[in-house]
Amino acid sequence: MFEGRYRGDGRPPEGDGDETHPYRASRGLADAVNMAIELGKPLLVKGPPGCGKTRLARAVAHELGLLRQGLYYEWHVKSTSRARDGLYSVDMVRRLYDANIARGGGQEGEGLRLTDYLTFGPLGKAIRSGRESVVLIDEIDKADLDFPNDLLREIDEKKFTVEELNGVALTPDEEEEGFSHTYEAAQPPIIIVTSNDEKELPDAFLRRCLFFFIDFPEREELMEIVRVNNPEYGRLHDDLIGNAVDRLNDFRKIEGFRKEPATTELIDWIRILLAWGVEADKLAAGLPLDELPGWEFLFKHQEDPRTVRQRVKETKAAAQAPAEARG
Amino acid sequence: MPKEKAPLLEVFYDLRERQFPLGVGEYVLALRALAKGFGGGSREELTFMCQTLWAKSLEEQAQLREVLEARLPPRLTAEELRALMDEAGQVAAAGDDGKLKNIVEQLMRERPPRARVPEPAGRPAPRVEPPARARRVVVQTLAAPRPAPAAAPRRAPPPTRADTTFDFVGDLPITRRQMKQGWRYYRRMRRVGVPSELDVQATVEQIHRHGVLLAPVLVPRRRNLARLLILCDVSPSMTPFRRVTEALLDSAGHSGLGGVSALFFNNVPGRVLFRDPRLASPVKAHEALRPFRRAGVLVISDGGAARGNADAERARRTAEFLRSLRLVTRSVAWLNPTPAERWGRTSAGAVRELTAVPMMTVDHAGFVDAVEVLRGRGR
Repeated sequence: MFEGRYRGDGRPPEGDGDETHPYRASRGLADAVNMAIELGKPLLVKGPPGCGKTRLARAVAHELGLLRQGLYYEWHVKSTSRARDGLYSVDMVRRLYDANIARGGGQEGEGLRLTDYLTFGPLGKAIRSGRESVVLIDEIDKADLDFPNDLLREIDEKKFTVEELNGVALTPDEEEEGFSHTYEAAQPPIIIVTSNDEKELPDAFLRRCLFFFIDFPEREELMEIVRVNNPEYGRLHDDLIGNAVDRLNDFRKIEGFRKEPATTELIDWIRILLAWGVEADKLAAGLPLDELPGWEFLFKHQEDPRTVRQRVKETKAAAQAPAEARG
Repeated sequence: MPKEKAPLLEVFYDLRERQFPLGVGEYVLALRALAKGFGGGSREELTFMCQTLWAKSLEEQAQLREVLEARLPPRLTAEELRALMDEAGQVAAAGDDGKLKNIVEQLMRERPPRARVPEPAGRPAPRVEPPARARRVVVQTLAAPRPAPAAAPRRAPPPTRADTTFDFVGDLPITRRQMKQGWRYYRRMRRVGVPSELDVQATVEQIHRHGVLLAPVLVPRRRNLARLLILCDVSPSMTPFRRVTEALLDSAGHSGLGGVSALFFNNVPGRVLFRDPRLASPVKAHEALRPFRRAGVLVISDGGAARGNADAERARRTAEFLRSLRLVTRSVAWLNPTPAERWGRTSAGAVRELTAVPMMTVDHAGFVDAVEVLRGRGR
């Protein structure tokens, strides 16, 4: 297989410090990232909540040594986001006010440069940087249906035009400051897109992306995730961590949660358990789930612990019923 | 005349037949990836590479695996893999993407998809053409049914399960993708919420009127407020159509509409509807329907046409319900998964005569018509 630049072990390039990023990518995920880098295509990542979709981009930037150089940009998409916001925005309202004030003061609005009201979004900054960079477009499915379609040209050609500057001549000063009508990436940014599947993405956009589905981590992977997030644990608490992971998986078998407990909740829970000095056998298999120490910390909505208690009650009732029938 | 071979072309054709939205560009991308050394390690790596490049969801990944399993020899030796990569390398070395696309299109003309038996008579051809982008390449057989076993492929694949029973998409009369595209037309855009967008026109007019800018005029953003209620029949006669109804419900949920709800019933919608498909949590119909004034309502039911019964009582009760429903909203469409020929002598046909609710078949054309009704356009 192709030996890619991204290994997925969290280590930065040689001579770039030795801080290890607490993120482990599976072999498949690392391959998909390398394919996206080599082919210059965005990588669309989907998967259950808490599987590490959003954190992937930062980990990639770290391993390629781009994070330290500030060549990592995050775009957290909101329901009101527009495609252009990621490239640039022009504060027209403020400019209107300023023009008004200038005219009221008897000046003719000179010296009001459009570029003073121009700010660049994450993708715009990455394209302008002229260097390799990583861009995270997080939760793209939150925005309007047409949002991904409005980004097609920028993703294909890695360039964008500031439409407001059409027909405006830039002064030498502005050009010196790096402003221009059109920006083109000298090196294509590595774009990582996450989606929670709230909405279907348009075909035209999907065709331009590579796709990878991150599964919820297996037992060993989960234990490793807990350890890399708390390097001080070492191998000291493996018994407790192992039991906690098993119980997390028990909880996850229950259906009907508003928010399923995932990695973040697991890490917090284990920190609490260790702070309380809980022994591993307090989390042994077979104990009723709603009697485990601090189990409520795994849940974020008040309905969810209720669901757990309900299910535990049902299981107990079901276990008693055949016993009575026999008796 | 290019001498190059085209690796994985059969796989590519198979996927297009299954309505994967793939064009020459995607094929070229796979060639480039192969030429760079991706997917060359083993059969599994090759599968993974194709999945990453050509599939955009878990379902598509599973389908792609099936196609590869049927198309690739059961064991790929290192030499065969290397040959595959060399072939790709030779083509990919030809130049930039534009040039490469020309070469690949030439190769595709030389090796068109396998011949296929014509469509069986009596099956109506889809009225709506597949979208233009899907026909960009010279592959005329896109809308044709699955290949009949009589058509001999170049290298006959072993008769695996993938060939016979597990063809998920080929059987659905309407694909997920067509549903997704259809829902996009169901829009009722309104400006609601906090004023946040500059209304340039109004602001300029205001400056013109007062001679000075007092305050910019802001308007709320446009949002899609289209709401949808799906009334779904879950009676045993609907069981054969469960996959397509589930796909409809699921695709509606992911459609980005202003609001999507579903209620369920058994055979005839009546005073009581259910919130779940197992019919365990009943709700009073008049209460459940009240929030859906002027929303779009989509009824999915065979209306008795699946068993072919002409039950006058059933037709009367159904028509009564639909008439009451049309007092809540005019935008009611009925999707009937049985073929239209079957409706005539059954209660489904009677319902059609008794009410003004249009009944459509569950295929692409019918679905497009139904969305038009939901939009309030009528038929």
